[in-house]
Amino acid sequence: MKNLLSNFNKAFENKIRLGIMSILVVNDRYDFNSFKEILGVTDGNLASHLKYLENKMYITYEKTFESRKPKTTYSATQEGKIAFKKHLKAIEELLK
Amino acid sequence: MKEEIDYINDLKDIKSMMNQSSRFMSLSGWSGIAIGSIALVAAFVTHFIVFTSPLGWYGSTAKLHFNLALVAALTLVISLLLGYIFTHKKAKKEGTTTWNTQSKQLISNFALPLILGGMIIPLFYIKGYMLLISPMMLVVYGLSLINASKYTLKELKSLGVLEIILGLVGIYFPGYGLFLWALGFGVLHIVYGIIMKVKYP
Repeated sequence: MKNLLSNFNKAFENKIRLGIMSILVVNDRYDFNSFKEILGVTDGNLASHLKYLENKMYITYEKTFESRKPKTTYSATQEGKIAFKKHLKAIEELLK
Repeated sequence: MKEEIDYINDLKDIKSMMNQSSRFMSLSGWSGIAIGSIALVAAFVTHFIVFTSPLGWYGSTAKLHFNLALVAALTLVISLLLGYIFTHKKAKKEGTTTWNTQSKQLISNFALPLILGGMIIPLFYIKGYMLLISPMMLVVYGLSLINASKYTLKELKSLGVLEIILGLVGIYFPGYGLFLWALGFGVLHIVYGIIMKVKYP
């Protein structure tokens, strides 16, 4: 049991961070406003969770302009994808 | 400490986020039923136009061609309009819109093969391969559906496969073009529309 638990990643214990990663493993890119819409969270809340994942090097971002409005687009790093898959596997093992 | 049930919910969330973020799930079954019905009407009208013209297809005149093109254009416009209206309604009910990341992805992945591949239709007309026009519509439409299926309800893939099969049959048996067209664009749309309505109420 103990061994099993060590595979769980604390970064993904939070619902919003779990949502962010789920989205980024199936979409190459996803922008801030689309995250907000689909996760139904406030700007500040979303920003802090994105920052957390960024600090962990699980995601990166890119700032662009779309018709003069700034747009921040996020994508998962290779590291983030691997960590997320490991976390998924740990859940599956637990539920077996 | 999280309980087992929490992790089961986590898995559910993950799956739903993956779907919601990459697929446009609001396609309405009514859209399919409406488009299929319009196609059946169009097929009957086409049959009527061709077989009331003096020598059938072989008496093909400029007037006949013009009438057929008119029917085709009207069918396309009405289908797009009805398809959009029902899907827009469903999206609104679900609290999303018909214009978001997912729908844009769906539209571009559907429209690109459809428009580029669809160029084959006017080319066949110009070159006089009349019998191949209706089966090729089925093939091109089927390929577009398969390409689009990654970005919406996954059932579109099997619909695409069936459309292509009908198209290939139509190329082999040229006399049945209109019948197969009605089957593919009419009956199949209605059947799939009903399946969607039951599966994604």
